[in-house]
Amino acid sequence: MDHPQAAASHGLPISPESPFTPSLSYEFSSKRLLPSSPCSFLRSGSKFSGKQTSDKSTYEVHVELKHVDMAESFLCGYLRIQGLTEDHPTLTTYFEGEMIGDKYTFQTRRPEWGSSEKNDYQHWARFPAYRPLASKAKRADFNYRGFEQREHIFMRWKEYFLVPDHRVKQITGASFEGFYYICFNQVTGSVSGIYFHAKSEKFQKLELKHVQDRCFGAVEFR
Amino acid sequence: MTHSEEESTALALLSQLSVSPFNQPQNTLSALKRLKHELIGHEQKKELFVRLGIVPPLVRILEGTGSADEVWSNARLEAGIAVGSLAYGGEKYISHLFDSRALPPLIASLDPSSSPSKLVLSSLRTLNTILDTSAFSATCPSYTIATALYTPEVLNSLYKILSQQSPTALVQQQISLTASLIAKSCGRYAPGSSDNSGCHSTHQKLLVEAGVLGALNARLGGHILAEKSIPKNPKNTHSGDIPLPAPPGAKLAPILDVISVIIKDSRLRSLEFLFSPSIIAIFPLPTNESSSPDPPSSSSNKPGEGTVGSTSSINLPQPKLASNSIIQPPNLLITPSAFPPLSAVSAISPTTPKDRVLRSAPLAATEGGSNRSEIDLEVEESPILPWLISQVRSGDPITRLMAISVLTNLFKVGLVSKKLVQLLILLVLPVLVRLLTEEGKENRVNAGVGSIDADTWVSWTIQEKAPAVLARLVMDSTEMQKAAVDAGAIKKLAAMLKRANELPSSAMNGHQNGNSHDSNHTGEPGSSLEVTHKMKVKEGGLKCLASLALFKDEYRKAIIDTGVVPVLVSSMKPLEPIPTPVPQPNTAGQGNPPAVLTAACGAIRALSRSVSILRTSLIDAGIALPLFALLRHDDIEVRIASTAAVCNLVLDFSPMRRPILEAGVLDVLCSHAKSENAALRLNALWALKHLVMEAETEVKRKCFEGLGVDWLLGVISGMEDSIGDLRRMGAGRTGDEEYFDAPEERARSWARRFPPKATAVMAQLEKREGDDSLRRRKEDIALQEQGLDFLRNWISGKDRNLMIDYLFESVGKDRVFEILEDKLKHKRYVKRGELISESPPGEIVNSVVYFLVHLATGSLPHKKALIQRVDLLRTLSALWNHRLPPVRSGLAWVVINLTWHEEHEDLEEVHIRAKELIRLGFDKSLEGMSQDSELDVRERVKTARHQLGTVGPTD
Repeated sequence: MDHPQAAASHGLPISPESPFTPSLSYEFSSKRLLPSSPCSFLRSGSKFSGKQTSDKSTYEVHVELKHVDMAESFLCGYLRIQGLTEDHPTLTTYFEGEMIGDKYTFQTRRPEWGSSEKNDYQHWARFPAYRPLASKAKRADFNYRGFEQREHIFMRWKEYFLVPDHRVKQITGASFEGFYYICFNQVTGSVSGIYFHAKSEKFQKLELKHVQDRCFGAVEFR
Repeated sequence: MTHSEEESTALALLSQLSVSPFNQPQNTLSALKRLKHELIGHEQKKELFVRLGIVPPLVRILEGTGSADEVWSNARLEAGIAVGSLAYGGEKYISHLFDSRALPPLIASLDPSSSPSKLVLSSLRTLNTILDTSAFSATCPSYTIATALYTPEVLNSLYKILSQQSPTALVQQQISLTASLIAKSCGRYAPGSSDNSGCHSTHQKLLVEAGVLGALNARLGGHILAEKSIPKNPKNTHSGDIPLPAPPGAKLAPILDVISVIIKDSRLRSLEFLFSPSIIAIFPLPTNESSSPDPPSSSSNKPGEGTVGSTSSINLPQPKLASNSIIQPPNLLITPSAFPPLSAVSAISPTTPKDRVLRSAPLAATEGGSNRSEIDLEVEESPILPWLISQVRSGDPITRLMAISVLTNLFKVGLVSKKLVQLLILLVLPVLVRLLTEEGKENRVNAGVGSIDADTWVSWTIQEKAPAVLARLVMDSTEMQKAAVDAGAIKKLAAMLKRANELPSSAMNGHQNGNSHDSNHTGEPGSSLEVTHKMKVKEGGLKCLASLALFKDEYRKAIIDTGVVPVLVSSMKPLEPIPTPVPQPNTAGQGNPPAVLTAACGAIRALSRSVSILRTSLIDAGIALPLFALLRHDDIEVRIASTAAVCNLVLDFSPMRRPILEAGVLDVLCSHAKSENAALRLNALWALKHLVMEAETEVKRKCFEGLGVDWLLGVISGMEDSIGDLRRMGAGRTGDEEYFDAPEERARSWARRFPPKATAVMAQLEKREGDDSLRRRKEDIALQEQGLDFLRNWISGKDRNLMIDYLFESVGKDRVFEILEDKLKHKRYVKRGELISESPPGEIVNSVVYFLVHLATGSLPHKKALIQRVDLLRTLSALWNHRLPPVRSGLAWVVINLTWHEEHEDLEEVHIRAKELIRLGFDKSLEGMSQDSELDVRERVKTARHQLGTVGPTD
């Protein structure tokens, strides 16, 4: 099907993504940061709920996305986990996600996160959707192009601080020093994840389903 | 000498000057000479003389033009120098001079044909000093100076100064100071004056009309010739335009500075610079266009002298070049227009069919307010660009900076080709970043100003301007931003800002004893000049951080990591405290002028585009209340910028939403939303749109009532419905054809001076840049979008049924739907005999569709109301191939929500709605979308078709 969105015939392409905004003034940018979501489930305000399971126990988990920026292969939100410690029946953290695509690779390449390439592949391999990519993904020049139009988006989610008070650094009996390998299904809106932290139990699973919400708020950073 | 002796000497001098100075010019002259020696460098004596009333007689003498007598000329000169010496004393003397009407004779003495050369120089220096000293002054002498300068007579004087051919140092100094004077005063419109609201370029236009830009171009040409010999070209028809080489000692930097100021933000003026006769004479165009004296197609017609009265009078000669314009030669530059096709429709008449190809805007498929399907204009890239780049690489620091400033402004209006943009990134931008830490000791450009010696002046100028230029260069280009960050710009800017934020140091004393001509003056630490300097550094630095932080979280975090946030907070402290209902934390440090406050708000706005930073650094730094206070600042720019930042601070995930709400932001925003100023209206409505997301019912209700039903509907309906408004704003030139056919006179004068192709492009641009109605239409559409999105957010959330009821009750159900229907309609009108059908702007369609998506999640009566709007739904279903993917998936969501089986709902109701949707053709539309290029659209369509019952179950 042909959508008349290509303005390419007129020299410099004028993206339909950046319609005009009256400027603050010429002294400041008036370029808009239009919300860009590859699918109806991956946008600010989208909610997910489900479980994180380890060998011994199961915790209820809720995730709410707060911002999605496809140009930066970035999203962020809150992750709320229930029943982790007795003192804190619920704990909420702020997390950021990086999407594997033209900006981030399947290899984590963040020494401070404590993973290795081998460890990365081990974790990715647990997702059935990754298997067809497995051999290609290991190549150094592999670029997961057009990732936003594929059924699965692979991500890493890393928790950074507690919500509401980011200054609380330590909670007895809980830690958010690791990160999640994530496989997000754009068709169903479900999230599968595997938690990784060197000192935690291996391969804890995260399974979330999209929470039905048929409204789409207009939110756009100014 | 005792004090009283001093006083009696002064009184004696004063009486000599006051009592009939015109009768004994010789005595007056010698008295003035003595006065000069008394004054220069002696602060206390200045005070004494001013107190005794020296200024009025000085002003009278300066005014006395009557006699051309040499003695009188000298007397006027001495009086001028004395006035200048007082001006060096600082702000309080300056305001005294203004009160005593010293400005008119100072300005009048700029005319080189009636004033002695030295007096012209002295007055130029005095005016420059006043502008330097009082850049941020509350009494704003700069506005008064600008008002006096930008008149045809005075601009003609400046033109005459700039056009002098004498190579003497005196004349060259006059030229430099004139350039600086224009650069400093241009664009200084008094707040609230009518010039301030429009296109912000009245001064620039006047300068072009007075020939000042042309004279400056010739001066620049002289500098180019001083270092580059041009090959003899017998065919060169422009030899008369070749300027004389600049004499040794002439300064290039001030010329570049003022050119960059005049061409700023205007493609038209930029072309008038690039293609000016003196520049073309030195750098002939690569095509044979300019050197073919008599193109066959126009042998009987000089360019531009065709039929008068229509656009076709610009009779473009079409030599071999015409074929080139299809197959673009390497140096051809494509410039996308920033304006919608409205003006494309009125393109000047083509003279060949090929010409038409270039401007083939698809007339039938225009979209109001959007900038797609626009025509491009093309011009050759000027060879002066590489020359400017060479100056960046070899000149002294201040010349480098000014050359970068010109290049930046050409880049901003899209007149630098892709290839050269790469050179800007590789060669120019790193130089600019290095200049941020430049001490600038090499070349003396101007004598120091006031109590500042020349070295300090150069280094201050660089520190003030380099960040401001960098801010513009990187503004919307992620490539430029990356290059700047890679070159270490963030750390350098943070360091500069921290230094500038420190209280004025006594270390400055060393500089102030320097070699300036006011040499015995020792300014106290924190003199107004130093404070002004620090404020300019802060303004530029904060703007630059704002430009760098807009798009990448990495850069925002890097900025936070430099520890610069406290500077941001103290840069939000105004000069005068603003009374607020909540007590303000007492921030230490100096108050900041509006320009710095605006820049600080810009930086906060950019940093607050991050959930993480909102939740950590910004909340910790306590920016909410200082920012809130600025919403009520007197200066409109400050209100606009602070409201923009508030948009991000009131988002539902911002921990600052509650404190700002409790401080009373709602009322302020509702009142700003009704401002006369379009940018303020837009920002305020944007913020309210965010404020009602996930808000308590009570807050939502207050927002709605604060704006008022009628106002809100007026905004959403747009300006077509308020013709009165339009007329008032448009002052009679709202898009009527006469206006589009505008100034023949100017077109003809261009045709005499510029190459034909440039002339054609310029004629086009003048129509566009001069057309306020286009700008207003865009502002109007942007506001409509925010209005619709406000309602869209307002009717979402847990209380949505209540809100929809409230909306239907207060507006009337039918009226709501009628307005929405109207928004989706094509606008049809006849223009130049052609029927134009303009589809509604994409962003408006998007907002309407999602408003309907939300409405369709309402209660049974709400859904029933919607399903009965047959026309609206038919229009909607025709959007299945809209260019914006969110519109297409939104269409699917309307169907999904209308056919959703709510708990406790009678399944029969769902079936009735589904049948109606099929009857209206939604099954066909959805089928058409099932092969959509977007994954999301295809998936939502599957669900929608499944619920409509037209296909089997989805997997």
